[in-house]
Amino acid sequence: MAWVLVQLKLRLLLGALRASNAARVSFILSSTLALFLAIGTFAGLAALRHNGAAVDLTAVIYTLYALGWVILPLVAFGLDGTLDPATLVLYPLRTRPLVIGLLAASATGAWPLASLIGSLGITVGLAHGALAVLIAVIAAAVQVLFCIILARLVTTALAGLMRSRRGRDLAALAIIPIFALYEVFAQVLPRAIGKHELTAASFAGVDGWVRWLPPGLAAHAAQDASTGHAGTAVLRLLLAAAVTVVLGWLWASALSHALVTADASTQAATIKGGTLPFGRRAGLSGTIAARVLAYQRRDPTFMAYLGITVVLMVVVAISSLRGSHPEVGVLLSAGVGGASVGMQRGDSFGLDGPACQRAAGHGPRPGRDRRWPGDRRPILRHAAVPDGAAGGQPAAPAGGGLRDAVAGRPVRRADRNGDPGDPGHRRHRGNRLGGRRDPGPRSHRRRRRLRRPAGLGGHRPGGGPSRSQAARALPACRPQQALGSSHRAGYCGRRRSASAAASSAASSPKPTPIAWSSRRFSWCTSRENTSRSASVGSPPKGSARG
Amino acid sequence: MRGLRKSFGRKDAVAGIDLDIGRGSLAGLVGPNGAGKTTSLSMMTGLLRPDMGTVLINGVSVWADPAAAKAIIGVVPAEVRLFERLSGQELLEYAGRLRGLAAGDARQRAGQLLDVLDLKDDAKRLVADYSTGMRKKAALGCALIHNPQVLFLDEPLEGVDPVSADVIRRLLKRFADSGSTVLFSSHVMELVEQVCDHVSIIAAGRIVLTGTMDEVRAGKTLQQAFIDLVGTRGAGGEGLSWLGSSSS
Repeated sequence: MAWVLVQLKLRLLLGALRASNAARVSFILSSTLALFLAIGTFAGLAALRHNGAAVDLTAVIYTLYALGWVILPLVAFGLDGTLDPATLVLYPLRTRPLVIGLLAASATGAWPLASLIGSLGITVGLAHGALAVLIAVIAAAVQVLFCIILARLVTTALAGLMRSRRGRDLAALAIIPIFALYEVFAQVLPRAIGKHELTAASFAGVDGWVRWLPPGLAAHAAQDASTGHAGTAVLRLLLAAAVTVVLGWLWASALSHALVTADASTQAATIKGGTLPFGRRAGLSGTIAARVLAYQRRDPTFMAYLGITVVLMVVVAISSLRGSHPEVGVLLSAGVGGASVGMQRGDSFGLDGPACQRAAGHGPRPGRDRRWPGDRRPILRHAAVPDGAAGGQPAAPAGGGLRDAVAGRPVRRADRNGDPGDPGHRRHRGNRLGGRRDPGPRSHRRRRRLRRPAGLGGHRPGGGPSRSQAARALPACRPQQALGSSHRAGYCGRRRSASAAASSAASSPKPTPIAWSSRRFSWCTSRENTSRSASVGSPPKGSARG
Repeated sequence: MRGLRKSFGRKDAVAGIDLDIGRGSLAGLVGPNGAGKTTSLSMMTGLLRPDMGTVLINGVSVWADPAAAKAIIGVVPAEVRLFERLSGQELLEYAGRLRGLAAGDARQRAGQLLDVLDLKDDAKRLVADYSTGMRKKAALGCALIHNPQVLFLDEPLEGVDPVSADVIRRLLKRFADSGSTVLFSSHVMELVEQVCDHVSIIAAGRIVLTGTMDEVRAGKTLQQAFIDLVGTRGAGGEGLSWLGSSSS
């Protein structure tokens, strides 16, 4: 059974190489990082030879390794299929062979190998003499075994939680301590080392408590063997092995439990809708604001951002308080915090910003609610670039989007009233690239009314054609306009595609012959687009019906 | 099974089930949403330890020896958890090997099952890229590869296209005709009526009626018999005055 599970693990690793390009790149990067870690740790531990605090530093490094083994599988829970007991519950596997098999599978892969190679650095750094080298090799093996079993115990015990929504949220929040650690290593430690406040001797008493943990026991075993205390070394190794065996027993118990327990961790997962009444009273803008507030609590990404901001503020404050002008440091910390929160709220990077960004894509009501905080749409700004390239005509409406993108100018959202790529529907206020001044909302609305083709007919309170009309009008519009619209629809929903295309059709004085449109659409990769273009052989019904 | 009970907090998901399924029968377990179908099937198949009660499958006590019981049954759970980064072919092969089949036998059976389940063209694709219906079919293949004595399926045709559903229906019939036992849960009455010879109706965690199809239907359709037994819920949406094309 163990061999089958090892083969399964290897197949899963190879499967990652056959997955998406992103997964492949991630796998290669991960393996490369493991290689560097192995070499770096081995070299680092080996360099401690003849250092007075070698054993203390080794114990700290071994303990950090163990921490890494606990945290990283939780963050990457879904990546290794063998970590989740739920994938094995259907099979007639008894606990004992299953534990042995999973242990063997866990020891397979780049990271366990890197851990072993790195840990073997103590054979150079701490061991003096043949017996000490032998003890060091065993100690390194015990250390890696301890790390693997500890990680398995934690992931198995938390498997039910990790499969749940709350567990995934918690895993996302794990980025905060990781970021804090990064800040310590990137900011605090180099500065302290530079000022000679942190030297190897600083760790001279650190292992007072670490030495009794298995990583510390392993490190001290190698040290004891080197100093002629072989008996003590063996005792330390036995103690570390005993702790590892106890952890293994706990893991087996957790595994037995997980194999016969439903995931009930979301049974009590209810939420409070405290922000929604605010949204009900304040119209669309209030609704958007309420959604942003609700997501502030419920979306772990926001919590993670805020946590990172707090870490940044603390690091800046501590760094500044140690200088000659602590009051400036406090102000600087507040400034950094404010800027960080402002960037998140403003969604400067357009990645996964406030809810209003996405809600904007669903067409707000005309009138006062059209001007709300989500108006600036960096998503569309990015979308405009492929539009221009796909259209192949920089001067075409899509090219306008490209100009906006280059100029870094915000683009109006594509609501039911206009396509942001269409110059006739953009509102420039004194732009620097020669765009005309906005004539004002009144004349803007009048221009829109004038451009509505008779074929679309049917007055709508919102001022534009209905979505069904828009969809019917799609084949008659200029191909590059409709194509640009369909590209943008990939970001903001298909309904907007039809609406935007209809607006483009409305502004097009001479509809292009249908056969030509069909040819232009034929290369579209989307199956739906292709079928739509194939169906344009008959006149668009929308025009006839109007 | 006798006296099967399971509670989550204060809620009795299964409030005492006694049920006998004859060997070689194709039995259906029907009930409304939240009636306890999935919880019952999980307890019958060794996936969820009951608070009380016993389950015997061909003489093997599920909760005295879960591994022995799992060796003679196949399960297609409602929420299928598969090894996402294996191909379809590899998934079935490893399902066979984890059940003790030799590598060669597992490979041969996997190929045949993929052929029957119309997954042969997608055998080299990763399971992560499969659609819901394809995942269901792959899970069915995993459940059948060791030729189980009893097959349990939870909503087996959910998300499966009509052609594949017909293939699965015929496969289940053939499997039951060979003397094996099938028990599946569903709330699609037409499917149960077409396929099953034995049906049990579960509501609020209890079996309210069980018997052969003719006994349960009592001259009506299964749908009507089910509604008569379980009752209708809600007021048919009378409160939704805003819903419909006549509203603005």
